[in-house]
Amino acid sequence: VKVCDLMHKGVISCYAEDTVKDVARMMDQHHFRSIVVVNERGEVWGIISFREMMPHYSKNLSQLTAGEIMRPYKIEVDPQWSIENAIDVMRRLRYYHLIVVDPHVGTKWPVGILSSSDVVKCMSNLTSGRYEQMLKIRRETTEP
Amino acid sequence: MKEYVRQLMRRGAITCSETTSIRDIAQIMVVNQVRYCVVINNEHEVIGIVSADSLICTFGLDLDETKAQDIIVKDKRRVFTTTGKTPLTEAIDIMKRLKIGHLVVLADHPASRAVLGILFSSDIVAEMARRQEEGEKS
Repeated sequence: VKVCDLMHKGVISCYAEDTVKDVARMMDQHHFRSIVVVNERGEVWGIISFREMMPHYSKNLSQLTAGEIMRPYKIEVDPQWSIENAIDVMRRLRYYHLIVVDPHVGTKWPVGILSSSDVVKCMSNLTSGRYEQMLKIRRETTEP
Repeated sequence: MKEYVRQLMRRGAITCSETTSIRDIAQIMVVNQVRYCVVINNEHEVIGIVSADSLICTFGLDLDETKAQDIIVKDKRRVFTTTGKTPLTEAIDIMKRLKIGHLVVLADHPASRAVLGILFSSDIVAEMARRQEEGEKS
């Protein structure tokens, strides 16, 4: 199994100058757990997840910028990596969202995100068809 | 403004037992669309929690043979839990210190180990976004 088989294709990104208020709104609206911070050339600069957001609970979010609270991100994950390799990086560095970058262009353009829940989905052995079936069964049993 | 854990927590929790296999826990997580599973004993007392982040360590092992008790983060000193009366800022401090995304909320009685609900970091961020928009309108 390769990283490109399990990852989420596409990322939600923001610039380092954007306010944290906009980032919070994006997370709330899109139900995304992590937002990729990119520079003006579209390269990966850092990542903002709930963990970075929470300490600023009682602050005025429109006065903070994404660049101030983001966690710098320097790992380059190739889509062709084996999943074991990616899990090893996750465990060692305690990064549970890996940004996958395009290996074919010189710049670090983000192409997707591999999170721990994508790996869990693979471990559950539920293929998409069966997963849909289970949801259907669940809906039928819970609704009167 | 919401100030206490009980105002923002979600009531109820997805649970499993110590002997549940990792494969079953993964299926429980996928079907219920959650990233955690609270491990309880026969008396319905919280023993610990299994999260998606800790589950990935077992990738490659025999998932039907490995049980929850092998990877569970045990909570003997009540560090991963909080109560409904705790101030929200205190709960956020715990989550930040332990680098976790959710806290198990127990009943207020000190001897009780029954799970009341879960406090999610996603709800905290959603509340932050909501509060900013309300501030703009007023």
